[in-house]
Amino acid sequence: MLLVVTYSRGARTTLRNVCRSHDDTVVRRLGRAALFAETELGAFLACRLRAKHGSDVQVERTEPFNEFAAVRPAVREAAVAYEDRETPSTPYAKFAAGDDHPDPAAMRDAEL
Amino acid sequence: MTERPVPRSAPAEAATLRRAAEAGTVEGACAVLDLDPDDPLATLTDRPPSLWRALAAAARERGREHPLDDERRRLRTELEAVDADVDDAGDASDALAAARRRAATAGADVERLREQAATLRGRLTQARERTSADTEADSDAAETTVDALRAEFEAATRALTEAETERVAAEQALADAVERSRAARDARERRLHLRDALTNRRREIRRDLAREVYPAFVDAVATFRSNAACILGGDSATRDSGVGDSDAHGTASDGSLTARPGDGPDDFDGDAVVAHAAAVRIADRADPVVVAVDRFPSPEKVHEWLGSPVVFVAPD
Repeated sequence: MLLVVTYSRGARTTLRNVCRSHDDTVVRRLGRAALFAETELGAFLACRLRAKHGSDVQVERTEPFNEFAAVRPAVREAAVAYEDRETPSTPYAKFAAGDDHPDPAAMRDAEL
Repeated sequence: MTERPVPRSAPAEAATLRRAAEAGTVEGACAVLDLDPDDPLATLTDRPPSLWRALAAAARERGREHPLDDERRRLRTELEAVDADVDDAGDASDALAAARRRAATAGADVERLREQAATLRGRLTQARERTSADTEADSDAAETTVDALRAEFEAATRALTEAETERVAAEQALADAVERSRAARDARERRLHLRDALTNRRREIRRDLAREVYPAFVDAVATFRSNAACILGGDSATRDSGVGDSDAHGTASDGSLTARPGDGPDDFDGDAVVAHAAAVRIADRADPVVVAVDRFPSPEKVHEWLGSPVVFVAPD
């Protein structure tokens, strides 16, 4: 999908109007951002916003996130284990250190 | 909310007022008088500002302050700083678009040259196979073909290598441009948040200030009503009582003058121009007011009622 984020009132208003008149192409509206269908029309609308508002519009192309393909098992297993922890107040860093899960600092520097 | 003494500017001189009237238009008169045409109290026209705005401006004119004023000032100062940040960062969209274009071209070049090299490799292999199978008589010509193809293939391979180098460079440049624009967007995002916050704060302040002076405003409207006959004059009064005047901002009808004012600006549904004039009256302005509505018969009466110097110009 195409993620369109706006950074000014003018751009936000244009996005709102675009969303109103193209709800078949707008997959999701999120405040001053929206997800457009990855079609030529979606691209056309994104290009229009870019042409009109320049730096006040950011367009990214997104892809579905598959944690089983993109992430090593230790990371996703740590996430599941942490959400299943017994004491909700334990911060992850402490949880990870005690149980041999990936360290948050190391994960921060490791690109997918 | 407190009232403090307001420094009054020196009243405009008669000559200036005359020159302003001679300008003939609202904009012209404002320019002569050095008034801001967007000031909701500077002009009286058939397109009055919102009652909230006019009343809040009147409250300010009377020296009212609001507990949120400090926060409003702080937000404005922050916004100015962020505005400067955004200006410093510049408009990177052209540079970013150029970087995207370069990366796309470089990527397409690599694909095209890779295909070309693969095709040439295939033809070269075929030519070599033919050469070894050929009879001696043809072998010279076949070897010439192989040599030519080999040269072409080598040139294509070199071009591909260069294109791949360019693609790496273009992608790096794009990544750098994206990184720079991310920092610039942080400033823009902050500016947007501050603008929204400032707008909300201003609206709250406007609302409170307008409510505070609403009783004085209601009194002013009542005075207008009791003076209506002399202020509106024979001509307007006759027209007011006439039927078929469908102009929304037309004239003060009997209905609007007797409308119940309610408890706040939301409840007021009387004539918008009269309401605007009442807001100007309670502001007790020292500065002149440019009047471009034809419902007031004489400058003297209006001047007396508004309590400010008045300049008449023709309605737009």
